[in-house]
Amino acid sequence: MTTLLLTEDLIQRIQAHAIQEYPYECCGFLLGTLQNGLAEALEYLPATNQKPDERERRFLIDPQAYQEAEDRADQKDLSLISIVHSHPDHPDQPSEFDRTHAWPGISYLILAVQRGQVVGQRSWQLKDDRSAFVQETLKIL
Amino acid sequence: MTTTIRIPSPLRKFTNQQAKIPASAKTCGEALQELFEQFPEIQSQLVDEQGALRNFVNLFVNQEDIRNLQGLDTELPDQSELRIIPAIAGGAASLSPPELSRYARHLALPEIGQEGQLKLKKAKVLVVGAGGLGCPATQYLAAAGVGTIGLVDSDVVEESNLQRQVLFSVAEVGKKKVDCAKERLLNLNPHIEIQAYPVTLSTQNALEIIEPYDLVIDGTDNFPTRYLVNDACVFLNKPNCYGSIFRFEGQASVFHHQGGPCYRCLYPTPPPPGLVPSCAEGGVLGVLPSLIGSIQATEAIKIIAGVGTSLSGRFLMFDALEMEFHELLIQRQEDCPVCGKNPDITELIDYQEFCGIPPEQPEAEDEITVQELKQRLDRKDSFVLLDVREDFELKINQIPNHTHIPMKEVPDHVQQWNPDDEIIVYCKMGGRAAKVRDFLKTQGFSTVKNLTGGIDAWVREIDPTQPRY
Repeated sequence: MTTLLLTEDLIQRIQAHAIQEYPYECCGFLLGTLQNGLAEALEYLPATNQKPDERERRFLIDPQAYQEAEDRADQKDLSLISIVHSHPDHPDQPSEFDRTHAWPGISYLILAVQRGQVVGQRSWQLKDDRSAFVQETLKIL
Repeated sequence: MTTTIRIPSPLRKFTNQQAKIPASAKTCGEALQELFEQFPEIQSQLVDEQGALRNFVNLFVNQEDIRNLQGLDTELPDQSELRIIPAIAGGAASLSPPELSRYARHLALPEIGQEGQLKLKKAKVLVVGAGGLGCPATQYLAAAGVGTIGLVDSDVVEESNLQRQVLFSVAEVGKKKVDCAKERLLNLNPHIEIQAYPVTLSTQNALEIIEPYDLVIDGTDNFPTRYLVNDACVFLNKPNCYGSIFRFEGQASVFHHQGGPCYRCLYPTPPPPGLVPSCAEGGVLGVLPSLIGSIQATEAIKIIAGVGTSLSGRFLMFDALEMEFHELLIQRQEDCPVCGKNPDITELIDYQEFCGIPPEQPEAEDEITVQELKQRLDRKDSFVLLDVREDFELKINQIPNHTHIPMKEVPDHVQQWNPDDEIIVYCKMGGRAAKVRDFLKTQGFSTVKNLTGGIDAWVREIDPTQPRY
């Protein structure tokens, strides 16, 4: 079982981003350290949802933005530990679409935003065989 | 010539946490092969079972997307950087929060889950007949979240339907069945669409009506429509969830599915008209269709979700009195006239004619209307008024001055009349009486008439104080 560790300050920044983007989905990256199944977040990089339509229920991050996030992590000797997105008016569990577009080895932090308020947040990892998501421990310090 | 393959963070667990893998390949495709040879586990993350690049995997050569170059054939100059970049995408489910809570018990089943529920939502099922079978079938399909349900029936709700057709209420007697069903089903589940077809399925309209649907549930109560549904499903390549009921017994199967047989493989031709009585004549236990209709809905849902073993190739028989299920194995027939190797029938035919049912053109001298009968009764004309229904039916309604002989017993009683006697025969709707009339004519009776529309027409038009059934 893996664990995603976040500071109170970081989760507030993520929540503020999700509320700001509502009713659209927000998205971003968490950079941090990764050791023995414990991912500790140190930095949140908001990204732009580049989906031209259906942004209420879909998000897309430009490959360029991904490269920049990863380069930044590599330069700081950190890892890209999580992809963050929100589900406006939907629960904080991964959708079938999320599953088919995800990779294992990274945390997927999902925030449920109901009527502009964050009502839940859970973190997930895709199984290595891609068959399903498994919820991981989300710890806020 | 060396290239550096840059591995994205999530996939570094498959490369012993290495971010950069050197390769000597000349093209992108070859470089990936080199990578897979070195780290086999990474392959399934990047390409699908057919070896095609997964649609959320982007490859960039020196900052350029290979889709804008020559794809996997793109050449790698010396000192290139081949970068694997996930297209980061995702999003909420296509089921809304009310749908998620509504279908929670389905979502809890690993065999259904969100994926199966979305398949149900996208599915279109046509139910032919809003009767004993169609009522439970549509109810469960609607409750289960089948996104589009079509319902074909031209009848209105009758009092005698309420004993088994659970979609309808007393207040709806006389109203169109499909309209009542639509209202009820949308009350049950507002997240779905109901298409009502207040028509009789016919050779002329069947293909057009069935075509948009993924599969058909056959809830018909007569042979011509059953053959019509079967043939149309074969021609349009739709699975046919079949069910039928009679008295205390029911049958179910799935036809034209997974290479299995169609209804005609089992019954190439219909029984002679009149041999198999309808439910109106023979009766049916009210609760029986709920079992068979539910089996049909179960098979439809399984086919849509792609789970379990269907009834294709199996013929399920249920006996409510003994409370037993039996199963027969049935096979597709090579010489089947519709789904065989060299089919004789390649388009829809006249199914009334096929089933030996003469077109409805009563010859005037063989028929009498209820109005005419009333006048002749009032005039006290001399004739035999013969009621050929069963005992239980006479307890519901009667026409004055009748002689009662159930249809089967008529041959034993022909001696009691003179060949010159005029005989007027009636039953509930006119079906049995027409057979008795034709029989009596073969026995030498010269003037035999069938009461058009049976006692049902009599009660409707002459004596509404009596109940109908």
